[in-house]
Amino acid sequence: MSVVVVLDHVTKRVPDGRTRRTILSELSLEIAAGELVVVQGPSGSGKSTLLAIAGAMSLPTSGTVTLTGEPVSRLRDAHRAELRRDVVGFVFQELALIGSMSLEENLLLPLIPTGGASSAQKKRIEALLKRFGLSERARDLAASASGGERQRLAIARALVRSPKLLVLDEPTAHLDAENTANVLSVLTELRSEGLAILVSTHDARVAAHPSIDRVVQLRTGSLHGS
Amino acid sequence: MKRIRALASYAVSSLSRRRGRSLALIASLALSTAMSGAIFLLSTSLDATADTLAEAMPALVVQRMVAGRPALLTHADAEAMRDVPSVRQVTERVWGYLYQPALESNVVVYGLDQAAIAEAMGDRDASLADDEVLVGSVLGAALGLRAGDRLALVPAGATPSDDHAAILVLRVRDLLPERAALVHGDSVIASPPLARQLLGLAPGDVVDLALDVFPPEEANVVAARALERIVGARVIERDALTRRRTVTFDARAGLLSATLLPLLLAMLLMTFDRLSGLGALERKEIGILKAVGWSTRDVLTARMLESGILAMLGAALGLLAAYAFVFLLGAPGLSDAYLGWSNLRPELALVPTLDLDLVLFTLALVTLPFVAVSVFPAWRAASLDPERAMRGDA
Repeated sequence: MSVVVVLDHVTKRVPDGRTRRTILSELSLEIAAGELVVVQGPSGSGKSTLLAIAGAMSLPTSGTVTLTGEPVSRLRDAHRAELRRDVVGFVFQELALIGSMSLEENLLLPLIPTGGASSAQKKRIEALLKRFGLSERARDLAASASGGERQRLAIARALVRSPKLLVLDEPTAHLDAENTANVLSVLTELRSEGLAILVSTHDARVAAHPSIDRVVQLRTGSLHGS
Repeated sequence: MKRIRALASYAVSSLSRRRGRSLALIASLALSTAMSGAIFLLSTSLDATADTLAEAMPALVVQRMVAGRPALLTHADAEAMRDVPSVRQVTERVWGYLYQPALESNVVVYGLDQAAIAEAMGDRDASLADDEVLVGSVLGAALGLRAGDRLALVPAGATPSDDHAAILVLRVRDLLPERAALVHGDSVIASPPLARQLLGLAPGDVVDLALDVFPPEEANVVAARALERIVGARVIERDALTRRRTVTFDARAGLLSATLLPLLLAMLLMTFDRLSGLGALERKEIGILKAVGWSTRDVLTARMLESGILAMLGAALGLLAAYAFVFLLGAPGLSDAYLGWSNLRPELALVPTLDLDLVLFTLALVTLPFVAVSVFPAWRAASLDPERAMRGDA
C-alpha cells in the first residue's frame, strides 16, 4: 500500500504569553492508503493540531510533512491550498458548515476556486447526497439540518473532490449510538475504497471498532503505542 | 475567467446572506455618491448652459472708467471703433440696474434696437412701441404678469415718496422664454429711448460697446486699438469672462466638495470599520473556505469582488439619485450655493447633461477609495490560518 501522509519529527510551538508552548514534539507518523488510524488523547494533548498539520491546514514549527509525495512545508500558500483541496478531505469537530447556505451549496464550496462544478462533479455531488441520505434536503439550509444530517453532510463535503486522505476531528462527539454506528459504517466503506483515514476521538466505541487498523495515544505532544 | 465567475457568484450569495450589512453599506455609498454626483452634475450642466450663452456674447466689450468707476460712453466713441480692421459690428448698448422698492430687488433694464428685439421675440417683424417692454420670466412670475398686463416701474432718481407722476406705467408686450431665465430672468427689455428714461441716462449716452470681431484671433489687436482710441477705455474679452465664470463655479464646486469631504471621510472610516471588524461568524466562514481548499488569493478575490459589487451598486444608485435630484427636482438647496441669493433668482431649467467622463470620474471617486480601504481587512482575513480562523484566534 502506498503511503499517503508522512509526518517526520514534527514539532509545533505556539506563542503563550511571553513564552512559547510546545504542542507537538518530534512526532512521526505514517498513514498508508486504505488504512484507518485513530488518535486518542486527553483534552489539550494536541490532537486537533496534529490533524491540522497532517491535513496541510497548518505548518509545523520544525520537521517535515509529506502528502502524496509533496513536501507540504515547502509549498507556497496557493499550492498548499491546492494540495489541501485535491488530496485532503477535512471534517471538523464543529463540522464547519455554513448554516446560511443550503446543503448542496455547502458541498459546492470546495469546487468554487476551480470555476465551479463540472457536469461530472455535479453528478458526484448528487451521488454523495444520495449515499448519505441527504437528497431530499439538498436545497434546505444547513442550519435546519439535524445533528446526524449535519455530520453526514460534513463527511460528504470532505469527499467531494475524491481525496486521498480523510481527516476527522471527533466525528462522533455529538452523536447518539445510531448515528455513531452510521459514521463508523461509512468510514469502514471509505477505508475499503482505499482512502487513508485519520480520526481523533475520545469515543471508546470508535477506538474499539474492528475496522480500525491502528490506535495511537497522544500524550504531552508525543505519540505512544499502536 | 471561469474561476472569477464562480467567485463572483459566491460573492453575490455572500452579500445576500448578509442582507442588512450589505444594504447599509450600499445606502452609505449611494448617499456619498449622490452628494458628490449632484455637485458635479450641476457644475457640468451650468457649464454647458454657460458655454451656449457665451457663444452669443460679443468678442469684446468696451467700457469707460473714470476715477476707477464705470462711466458712460458716447456715440462718438462707437464711431471711433467702426473703422478698426477686423471689427465687423459695433453695438451701442444701453442697460443698467434699476432698484424697485416693491420688489426689494434690482431689475436689469436693456435698451435694444429693433433688430435685437425681433431676435429676442423670435419674430422678424416684431418691434416695441415706446411704452412697451419685454419682461424676463422670473420677474414675470414674481409679479404674476402676462402679455398685455401693465407694469409700473419707478425710474432712476425717483423715490417712493415722489408723487405717482414719476412712476412709468408700461405695457407688457410679452414674457421672455424660460430658456433665457439664467441670464434674462430679471430683465426688462425696452427701446433705447425708454431704457434711457428708466435708467436716468441722457439721449446719446451709451453704457458700453459690444464689438463683433472677425477673425476672433484679432481680438487682442482690436482691444489694443480701443485702448488707444477711447480715453479711459477698459476692454473685457469674452474668453476672460468665460475663464472668470469657470473659475467662480469651479471654486464654488470645490468649496461645496470641501464641505462634503468630512462626510466622505466619515463614510470611508465607517466602511473600513465595518469591513475590518470581522465577526466571529465571518472569521469562521473564512476558516471553512480555507479548510476546504481556498487559497489566500481566492478568499481575497471573493472579498474584493464583494466590495466591488457593493461599491458599484451604491455608486450607480447614488448617480441615479443625483441625476433625479438635479434634473428632476432642480437641485433644491444646492443651486442656492451656486447661483447666490436674490429675490429674483431664476428658477433653473437645467439642461440634462451626463457625459461618460463625469460618470466614470464620480464612480471612481467613490468606488476606488471604498475598494482601497477594504483591501487591508480583506487581506488580513484572507491570510488567516484556517485552523486559527476556525478557532476564532484571529
